[in-house]
Amino acid sequence: MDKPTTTEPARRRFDISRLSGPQRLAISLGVVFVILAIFFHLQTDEVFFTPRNLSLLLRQASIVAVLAAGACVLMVMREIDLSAGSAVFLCGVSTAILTVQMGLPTPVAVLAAIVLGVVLGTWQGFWVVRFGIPSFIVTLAGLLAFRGAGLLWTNSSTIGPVPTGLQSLSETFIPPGSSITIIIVVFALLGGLAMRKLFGRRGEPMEMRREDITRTAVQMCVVAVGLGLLAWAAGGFLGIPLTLIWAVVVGVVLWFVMSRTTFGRNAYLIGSNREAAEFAGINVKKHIFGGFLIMGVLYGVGGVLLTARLAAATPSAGTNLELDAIAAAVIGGTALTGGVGTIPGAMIGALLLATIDNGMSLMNVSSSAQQIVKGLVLLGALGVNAYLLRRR
Amino acid sequence: MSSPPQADTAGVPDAGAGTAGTGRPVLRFHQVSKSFSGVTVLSDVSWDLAPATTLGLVGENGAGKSTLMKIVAGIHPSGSYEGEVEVAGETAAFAHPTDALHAGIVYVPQELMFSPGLSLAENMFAGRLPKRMGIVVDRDRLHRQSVDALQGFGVDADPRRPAGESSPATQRLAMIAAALSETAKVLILDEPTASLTEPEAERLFEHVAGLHRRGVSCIHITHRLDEVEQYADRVVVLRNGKVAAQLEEARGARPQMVRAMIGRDPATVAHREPGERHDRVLSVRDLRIWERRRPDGRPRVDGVGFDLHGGEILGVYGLVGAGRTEMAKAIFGAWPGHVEGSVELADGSGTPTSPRDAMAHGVAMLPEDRKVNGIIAGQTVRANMSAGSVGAVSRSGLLDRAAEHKRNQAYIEDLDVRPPRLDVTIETLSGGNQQKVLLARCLAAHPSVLILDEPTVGVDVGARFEIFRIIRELTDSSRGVLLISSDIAEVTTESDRILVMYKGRITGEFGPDATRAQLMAAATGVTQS
Repeated sequence: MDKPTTTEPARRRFDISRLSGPQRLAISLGVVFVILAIFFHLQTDEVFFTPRNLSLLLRQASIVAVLAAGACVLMVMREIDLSAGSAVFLCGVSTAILTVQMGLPTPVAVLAAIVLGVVLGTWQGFWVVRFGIPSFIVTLAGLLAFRGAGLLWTNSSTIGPVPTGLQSLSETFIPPGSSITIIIVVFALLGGLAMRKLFGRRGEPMEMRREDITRTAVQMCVVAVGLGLLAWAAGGFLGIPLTLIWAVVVGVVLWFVMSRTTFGRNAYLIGSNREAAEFAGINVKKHIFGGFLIMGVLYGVGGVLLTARLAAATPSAGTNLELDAIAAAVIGGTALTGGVGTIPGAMIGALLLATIDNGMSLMNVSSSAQQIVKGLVLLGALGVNAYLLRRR
Repeated sequence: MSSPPQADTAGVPDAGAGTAGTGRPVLRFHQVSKSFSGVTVLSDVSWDLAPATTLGLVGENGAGKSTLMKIVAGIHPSGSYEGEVEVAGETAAFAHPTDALHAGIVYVPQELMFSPGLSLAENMFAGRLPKRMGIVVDRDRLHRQSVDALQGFGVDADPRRPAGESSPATQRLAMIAAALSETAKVLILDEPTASLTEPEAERLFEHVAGLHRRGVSCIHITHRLDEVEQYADRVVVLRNGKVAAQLEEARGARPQMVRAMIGRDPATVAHREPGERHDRVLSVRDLRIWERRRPDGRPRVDGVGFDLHGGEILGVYGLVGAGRTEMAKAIFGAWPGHVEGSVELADGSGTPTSPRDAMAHGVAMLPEDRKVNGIIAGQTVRANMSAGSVGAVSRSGLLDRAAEHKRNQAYIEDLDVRPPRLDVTIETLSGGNQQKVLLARCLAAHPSVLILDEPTVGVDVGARFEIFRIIRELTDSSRGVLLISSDIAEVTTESDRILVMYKGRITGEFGPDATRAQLMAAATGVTQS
């Protein structure tokens, strides 16, 4: 990609060096998706690219996507969470015990799971902020302790089946008709927002406007393809899975928090240069603590979704989920060194990981071999990231 | 000052062990010149070092002292400079620091690199630990070697204890002891007493006097002219990369040293029109600041007090290590160590507990180390400018992006930031423009006290001029500026009043008409002004 640039004045050719880091990342992710989809489709007797399988894939991706969004928030602040899998497991256990053994109604169990998640987040945030213990260590302790607590609570047995009311939180579908209506409304909304933004910039010079228009057009095309696929999958198989709605709600809220609030702004500054952020008068500790609280809410959400999806709390539920979440965030452009990363990126990373899992399962690749491939994909993604985001 | 313990060795070098006669210099510079990417830092430097003597090497920051010593120590390899360096009569062409060490040159840098968790012995012999079979550290031999070295130097310390437990003086002496082999000829000490107390410094120089009896010479680089007078035999003064003076007798030569350091020409640039003095915006009384969280050892700042008024630019001059940055950070709530004394701000509140607290009470600070405490690399100019003041352009936690854009755009225009864009990352700007963005960050907090710590370091001349234009404009009835600078010309032209600090104390207060000689004298501890 480092070809010497020709001096002939731009016959407006496609030139990758003019793109920003995130744009290049988006392109490379898109290319990877297309290649994977074609590969899996051909290797699985054309099972991969069916509405039924795409719907399954989205359900598989949702929980990882929720936690990847949280991992992204913490990693932007240069913190890390290794405890997510265990914390989600513990919250899932509480949901199962409250509904199955205590017979409490689903809303109470959901609320309790989220409260428990926030307690776990507070606990970890407290140690990180109050005593300055690296989050790597604090959450490593959580990884061990939370799973231990969950296993102790359940005697390492499976608690289930949970009531259908709880299961339906994840496993219901919005009917195809309504699904398609929702998708059309969302597309119209996004289109409207894009147009408003475009017209808001009418004062700018022609060249920049042309760039803006091109970019918006490309973005809308990508959105159209994505939503079109979703509409195809939803229309062809039962409708939009409810669990996807949860993931999208979490994603939109956190995207808004990270890009439109003072908390998000400060999070990026803290992650890029903590000393300077402190010197500039930002309350670094408060923000990091806030990050762990957000993560805590997501433990609860993830726990409920996981238990609902499996219809039970199983002893191994959520194992390695923290690693998938971190990997997804990294694949989606989040830097371990802090200050860089977006929520949509992290969630798309989760989708990519789920695609690989799903495709290989369809190909009957053993789960051991799947892990090898996932490991290599993570390494490849990091390599590509380092290459695309390096400072010139 | 107490009389030096080794006064009788001065001037009568003991031409004993291993030196071939007093006349022959142990180290000799002949027309040494060096430039870094076109900027001359040393030109035609020539001087000799006689055996078994101490030579004081002095000069302002940037005069070329360190560069010259790095040439001798082989850090700047042979070929990267012009002219000749001779050690004991032979031309030295060091390609590497170890070459210099083998030739008998021992360089002890100002900042010692040592690992507090490893033992003193391991630190002393780091990189040349005695080994068994090439891989296993020979602990017995290491112990014997370090005990020998320490005893030979009269240091009472257990080399097996972690180095962090020893005092700074012991650490420094241990490193010197380890570095000195039998073949050592020249010992170069760069600001050796910066972290030492007065008795510790005396002890160090007693040991140096002992080395003279073994024929070892010493080059003592320092800003402290009192030390030079007390301990050095001869003095070489560098100014702008040239030898400004060579004094055969250090004692009582402080005025000559000062004159040579700053040159004779008193600068005459347009002084700032002194404004009217308004209400007091900052009052500091008996401020004492320690390095660590507990008040032990020598305080870095020792009993500083002053007032700052609205409309005033108060310059603070001093040499590196005088305690100016520590003082500024304490007033800004950013000093991590122990702070005593009182700070009273315009709104009546006391010493800030954090930068956030300081900004809430009207104190803003432009830090000295722009890369570490200033710019937030990787983030946009917009975010950098708003850091710490996003609250002013947001409603209940939501950014009002239009309001932020409008405000920041106004700062960009006022301060003439180039390129005038908010969406580029800050590290793509030049040093001067980065500084303007950081200045805007300070201003966005609407401070009544603006602390500027070396605001023009690494800033080109044009931007420097502009930054001071802005600062002059900013200083109005409700705002006072504390201007910390190591640049005499800058301090005298831009300040209404000048405080000079030396060893953590204020040693002089001057009007804007102060001469360079007066300021330099106060900054080097020459009493009377």
